[in-house]
Amino acid sequence: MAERNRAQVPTFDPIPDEPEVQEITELASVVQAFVAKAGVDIATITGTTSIKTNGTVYWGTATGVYTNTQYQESKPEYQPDNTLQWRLTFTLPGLQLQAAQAYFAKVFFVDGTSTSELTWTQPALNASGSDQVFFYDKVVSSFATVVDVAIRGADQGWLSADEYTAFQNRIAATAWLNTVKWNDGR
Amino acid sequence: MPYQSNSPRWEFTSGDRTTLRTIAVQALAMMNGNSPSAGTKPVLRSDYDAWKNLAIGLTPTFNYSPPPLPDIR
Repeated sequence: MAERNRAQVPTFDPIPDEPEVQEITELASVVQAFVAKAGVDIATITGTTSIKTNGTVYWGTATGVYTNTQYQESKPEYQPDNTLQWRLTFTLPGLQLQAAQAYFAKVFFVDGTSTSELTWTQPALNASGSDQVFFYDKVVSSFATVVDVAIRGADQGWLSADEYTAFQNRIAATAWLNTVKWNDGR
Repeated sequence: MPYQSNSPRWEFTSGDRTTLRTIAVQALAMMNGNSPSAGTKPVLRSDYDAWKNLAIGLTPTFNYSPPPLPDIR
């Protein structure tokens, strides 16, 4: 009887192991995927990572000397093979100068890792903003397509891959076909 | 052909949708030879360059929604 009343030593489940912290090893393999694209007065730096991460781009006109910054958060992006990637895009404004200018940039992620240094050359400002642009009649159809597709995208919030490609191509076509009256008479 | 909900597509933010409307309005002006900023002829290079930059500044998200999983019950 005495044995029966003896307090039972409670038993505990073994303490579970700490969950392993996922090492962020993917970044090292994706940083090279970041690219810089030069526009007229703007550059776009974009790339994807396999895990969600935010980052800040630092850029300037000399290697290793960055005088501007911009922070962005990544957005989910499904790939054609159904995998999920996270896209980080920076749009850098006001880059066009009188002469062609090399730019240098690095993206630093919130975990402290960074891309290698990106570099690109921004085209020179060859003409004044007061120059006049005249379009051939055949450019009208490109403008019409841009208007049509842009309104559709604005109304419904999306465009098919083909429509968006056509939209970009028609904008580019206005530059291929237009004529520009330069200040120096060219 | 009706649009398939799982077709790949570029999706725009509300800011992008506003930009798309601006692109359309300015394209319409330039199609008629008017400079978007002043509304007068001819088109100024600064306006034309700014218009092209609007498109570069778009940040759509490419969304490919996978087809629904088969019902295995």
